[in-house]
Amino acid sequence: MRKATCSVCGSEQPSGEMFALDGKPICAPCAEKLPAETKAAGEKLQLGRIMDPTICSVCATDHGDTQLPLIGGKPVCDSCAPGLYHRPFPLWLKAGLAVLLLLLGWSLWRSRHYFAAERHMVRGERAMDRHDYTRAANEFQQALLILPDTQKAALLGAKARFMAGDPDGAVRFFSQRSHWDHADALYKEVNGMFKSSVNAVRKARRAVTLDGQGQYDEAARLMTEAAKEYPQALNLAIASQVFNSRAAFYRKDYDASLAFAQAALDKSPGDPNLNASVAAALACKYALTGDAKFRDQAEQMLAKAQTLAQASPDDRAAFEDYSVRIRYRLQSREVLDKDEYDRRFPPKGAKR
Amino acid sequence: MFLIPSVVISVLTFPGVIVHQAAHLLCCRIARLAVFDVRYFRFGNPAGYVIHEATTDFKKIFLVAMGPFFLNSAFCVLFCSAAFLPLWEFRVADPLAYFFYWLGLSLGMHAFPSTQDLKGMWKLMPAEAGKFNLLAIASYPIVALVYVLNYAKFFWADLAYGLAIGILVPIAIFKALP
Repeated sequence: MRKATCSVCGSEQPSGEMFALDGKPICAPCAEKLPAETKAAGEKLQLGRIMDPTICSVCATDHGDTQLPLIGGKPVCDSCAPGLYHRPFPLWLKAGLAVLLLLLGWSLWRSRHYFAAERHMVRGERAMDRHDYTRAANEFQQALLILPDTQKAALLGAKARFMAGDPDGAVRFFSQRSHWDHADALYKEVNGMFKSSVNAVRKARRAVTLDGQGQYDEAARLMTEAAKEYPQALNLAIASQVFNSRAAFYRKDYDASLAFAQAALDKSPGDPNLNASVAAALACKYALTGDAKFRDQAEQMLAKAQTLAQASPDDRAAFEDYSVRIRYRLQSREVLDKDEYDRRFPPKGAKR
Repeated sequence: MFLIPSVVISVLTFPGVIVHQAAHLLCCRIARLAVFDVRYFRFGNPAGYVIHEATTDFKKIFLVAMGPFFLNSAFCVLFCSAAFLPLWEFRVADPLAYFFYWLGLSLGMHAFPSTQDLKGMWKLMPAEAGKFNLLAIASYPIVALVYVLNYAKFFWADLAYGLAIGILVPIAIFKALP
């Protein structure tokens, strides 16, 4: 231990218990009187504790005359120094962290079905971004198989079905859940799509009824509205073109009829009935103009429709029905609608 | 502005304070700096502290000052990710998930180094940058940002940071699922 003499009272004291004032040692009792004196003199007190380099600042062991090495400006003995560099973490901290990590591990293990469902959700959303709605709907269905009560999966599945033009499929997703969070923005969006599709289907049904009653222009107008209301529904878009083509035919506007029939075919080139509709419109053009180009095109389209119709018995039967009228039109250059044709040439077994 | 005394915030988010100080201690041990005193948590300001040996080695200062930022942020992401799917994606009222989200946000809120932590770095940065110390040069924007965020704590920047990394990072992680 080192000793120093107080620069104020002259007493000798252990230097570790003294202070320094302007570089001079001062004992604790004298230092205590200083604040009042300096305050009265209007001076600023510059007081610091003197460090005894022979006393360890950690364990306070007196090492006699041996000056200890300084660590961070403080004297530290050899037995205390390693402890400063390897200060242990307290047991409660290590135990707490261990418990939390165990809890986290258990939670992750318990949540593995969430991860499995999320993988399908992510794949589904990616498929939505690619406009692959069928794949998306399948992925959301997979997510629902894992977590049946997931509103987001049910809504996205319904949305995917709506976007694919399959309102019935969308309703199947809706029916997988009995209660909904009506404040959810996605719920509002999909519910809006649902309402639009219901309106569109209602209009489409009315259009079909009017078409059956021979009100072709009104039927075409309603079907066009239905297609606009539910633009994702391909069948409505095609029906809209077909109905407009038919309305134009009855107005004897064969150019418009051909254009609408071609627009319908462009949306579904593999449909034999739509190929036949173009053939029928081309036959009208041939009947009107006598231009062999239209006849050749009509025959090509009819041959294509015949090939495509072989895939299903219904399509084959439909082809047998309309092909005779189109061929008659090409042969006679006389445009007859179905009723007039049937009146003149009654189908086998039909009463005149 | 909704004002809550910092002591109350520290009490409500005490795990973040504890992990912050533990991270300081860990970094001091890694950097081989002597530690004289540690308070993991206390009712006061600061809510915790680590008194360690001073150094002029910029790498060590950087590690000790920024270590808690990275460790707290990493733990915040870890615990929030564990709670993200049930709470945010599937809307399941799972008490454990709520606990993990509170824990994660507490850790995220206390990720910022204090201005005291940054002062040591700030003092050395000009000289180190002058010696083309890349870490010191890269530290300029980080330190500047963290300084600003520290002062923006008044406007709940610490909570905003916790929420940001506790929500956005898990979203990014799960969106990257194969």
